[in-house]
Amino acid sequence: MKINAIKYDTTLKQGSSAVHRDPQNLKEKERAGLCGKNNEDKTKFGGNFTGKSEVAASAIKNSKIKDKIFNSKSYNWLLKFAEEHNVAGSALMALFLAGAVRPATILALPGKKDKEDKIYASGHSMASGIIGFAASTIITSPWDQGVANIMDNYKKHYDKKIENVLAGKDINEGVPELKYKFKLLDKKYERLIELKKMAADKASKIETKALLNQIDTIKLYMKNVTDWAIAIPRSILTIALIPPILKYVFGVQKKSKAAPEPTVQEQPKNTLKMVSRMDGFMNKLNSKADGGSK
Amino acid sequence: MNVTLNTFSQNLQYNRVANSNNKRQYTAPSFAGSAEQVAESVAKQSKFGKRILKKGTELFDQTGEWFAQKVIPKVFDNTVTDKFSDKVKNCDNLFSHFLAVGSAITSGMYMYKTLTNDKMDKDRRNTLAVNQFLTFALSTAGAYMLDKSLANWWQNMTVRYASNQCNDENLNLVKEFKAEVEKAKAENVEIKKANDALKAAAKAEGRKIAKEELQDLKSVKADKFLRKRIGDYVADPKQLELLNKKIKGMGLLKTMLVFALVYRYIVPVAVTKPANILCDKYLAHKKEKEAQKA
Repeated sequence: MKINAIKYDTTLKQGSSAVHRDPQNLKEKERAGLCGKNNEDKTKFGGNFTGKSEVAASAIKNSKIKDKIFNSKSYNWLLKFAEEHNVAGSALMALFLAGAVRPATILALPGKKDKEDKIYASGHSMASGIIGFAASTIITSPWDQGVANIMDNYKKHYDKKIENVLAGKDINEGVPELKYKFKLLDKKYERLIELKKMAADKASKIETKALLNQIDTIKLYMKNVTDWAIAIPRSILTIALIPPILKYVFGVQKKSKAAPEPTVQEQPKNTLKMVSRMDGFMNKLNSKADGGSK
Repeated sequence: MNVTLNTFSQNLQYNRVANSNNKRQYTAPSFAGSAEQVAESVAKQSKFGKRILKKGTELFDQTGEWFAQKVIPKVFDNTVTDKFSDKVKNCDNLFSHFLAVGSAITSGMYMYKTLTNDKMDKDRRNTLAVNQFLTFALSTAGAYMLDKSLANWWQNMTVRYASNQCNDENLNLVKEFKAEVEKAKAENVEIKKANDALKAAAKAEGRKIAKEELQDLKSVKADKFLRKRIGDYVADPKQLELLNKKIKGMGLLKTMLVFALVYRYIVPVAVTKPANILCDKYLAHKKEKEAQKA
């Protein structure tokens, strides 16, 4: 028989914060059941903090592990993040590999002799991954947002215009306002409208496709140039911040390999000390012997 | 058998004081939502958290808007962007090139730092710089090769992902894609034959054949294939746009992962052991030389 002693006020009027009013321990939650409310929670709480499975069931017959991954929220979030933030996405991959997988592999490599080196290399790798991700995310995320603002605004504006052209309506009817001035995009989209007005022959189709490709390329170029721009300051920052991060966050410090051997100049000092100690000892012995004779 | 014993006593002074001072109504917390919802609800209840979240979002949006209004058009609205984007618009792996250029800048910076490091002797500086360059060249070549070799497999994965998102139970999208790839392969055999015949004819005439005279080989790209098809499965335009974004993200994610894997994991881990051995040998050689001099 198992007796669980708990100490809870069954009146539940302690007035603690709304979040921590109930027993927080999962075991207690499952077993205590002292009030009705508690039991209600138990039916909702399935051991997973999210309350429901993170991975949605796949609609595909004979679904495999990859289908479960493809339906997971985190994977879908990752895809969206990779598309929206190219530079930060790359830094996220680097964070995962340099911050977790590489240190684990380096530490698992055989060789007891260079253990200190391996610890230092692992700390170095983790620090560089973290700094790279932090710098990339802080700098490039607002930039990506700015690029997205321009491109989305232009797309919405001109898509509506094209829609009006194709429907034979007034071209400016219900068109969202253009908030930004970007002559290059104006030129490309205006050409697209002209092509839509023309008969849909093969040449116009090819040109339309080329224009859409170019607009996509402009977006990718504007997003990724930041990686080139921040490459140098980021590497300088990484080099500068690695030693303090290693020291204060990971508690790792590069030590010199061999202990310093006594130098040639130090040897006479040591010898002199020894000689003086020996002299003192001999003097004491002599004085004792003299006293004895007295 | 489990027995739960409540040892709480109403007579305790502490509890009496606590109860008399607080008569708030009890409401049990619910854990039915996702982790994000819980975090959001905590942030909502905490005025401080709410304020911080609001300020952070505002700052992010303002910075993004400032970039969109003042910086991005000034930097990119020019003929350089126009010419560059026009030249590379049909490039399939443009994102890989952006990553390689970013790495070249970072590696170049490290090489420059090595060559201008006064603490090292000249021979060692040059050796290290050449070593850094070779590591960069090998890593880049390896990353491109791995990226290319995974391309077909990843295209199939992308179509499978889309099938999952479209609730395509019988994997019709996957089947259609495979059929289209096979069709393109068969057509390419014919195109190659026709191109060879044209080349032979030109050779017989004693002239060099122009590129425009030859037929282009057909290729089936998963993202382009899916862009045409997923409209049959997803009716909501917003959902469709989001799915297109994620499909684009699949291609980007693969390239990000491959480049990070090669640059940040495979090469550094593979280099660790030989680098340690070489370093030890160099130090031993240096010590020996110094000993000989002495």
